[in-house]
Amino acid sequence: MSPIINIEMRQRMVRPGERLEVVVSWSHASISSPLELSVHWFTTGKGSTSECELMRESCEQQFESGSKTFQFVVPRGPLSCEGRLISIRWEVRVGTKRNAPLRAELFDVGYGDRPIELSRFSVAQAAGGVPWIRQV
Amino acid sequence: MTSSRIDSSYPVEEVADLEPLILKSSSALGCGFSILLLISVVWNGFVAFAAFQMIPKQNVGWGNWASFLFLVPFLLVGLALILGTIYVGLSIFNPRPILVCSQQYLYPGEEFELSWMFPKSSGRISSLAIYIEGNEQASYRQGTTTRTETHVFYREAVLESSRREEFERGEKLIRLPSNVMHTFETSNNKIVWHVRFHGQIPWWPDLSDSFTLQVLPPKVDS
Repeated sequence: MSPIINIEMRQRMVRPGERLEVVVSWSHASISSPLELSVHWFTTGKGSTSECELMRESCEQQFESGSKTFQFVVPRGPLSCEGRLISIRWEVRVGTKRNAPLRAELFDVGYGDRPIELSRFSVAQAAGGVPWIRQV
Repeated sequence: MTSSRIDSSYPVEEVADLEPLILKSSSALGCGFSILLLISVVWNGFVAFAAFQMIPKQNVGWGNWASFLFLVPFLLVGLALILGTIYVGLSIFNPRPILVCSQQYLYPGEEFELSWMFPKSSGRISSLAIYIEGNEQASYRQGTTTRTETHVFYREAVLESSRREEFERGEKLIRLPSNVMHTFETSNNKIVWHVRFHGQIPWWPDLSDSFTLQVLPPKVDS
């Protein structure tokens, strides 16, 4: 039976420098293959995916069921953003060393209440008569 | 057991920000000219050799003419390469601006000053536009080639003028909005900030120059 994993986060929008608290609870987990929690940012959009793992921590569970609280100080960047070609998101993943993540939860890093929208700035008014600009 | 890694996808302060920064142009006209010249010489060398072998001589039939006509598209490409090389070669002699930024590290929402001047005569320029641009660049594989798409998400005019006394030298206070994205760079995805110069020169290739700005994420309160 595959383990049942639950990830709880207090906030989905975290400011840089803040402490992100993640509670991972599990049941039916195999003690011989410890669960690991990792924090990543990754890109989505038109380009090939870029990704960076910023932290990895082992649960080292001693029982088939249980829970553990992890803390992670969110770095200064990259901030979450949404653009036409590139978006940057953050994710907490829980899995075993051998397998792909069994559970993942998205969150965002920034100073507002949602990711920075690149398209909010209109460039149309300045675009006329600028010959080197190739609009996509 | 915990492991953490260093992330180099965004710029951070490396030295004390005490002095203004002379920005370097990111356009590589000399390099572009050399590459174009090399391609042009090689291409036209091969095409010229083939053409001389196929030039219809007296008392030859339609077959030889057909071979010569087959070469025509290659000759036209060679001609375009020569014209392109001349165009890029001429633009090397355009006046080049010097751009100075009042601080090394720029932050969203904070003010900085840009000043520019043309060390050599800018008399040939009839009008000049200077813009600050934010671009997103995404590279992806398509078959065996790598393609890159660019989208301008922010543009602010610093100067648009056809008066020489205005564009020959000047300075302007700039403040990027507080909620813009900082510089971000990975192998496939980039968010880059530029100052772009575009000058129109009658009967000559236009001036086109670009300078990269490093916009840092806001400082974290400690």
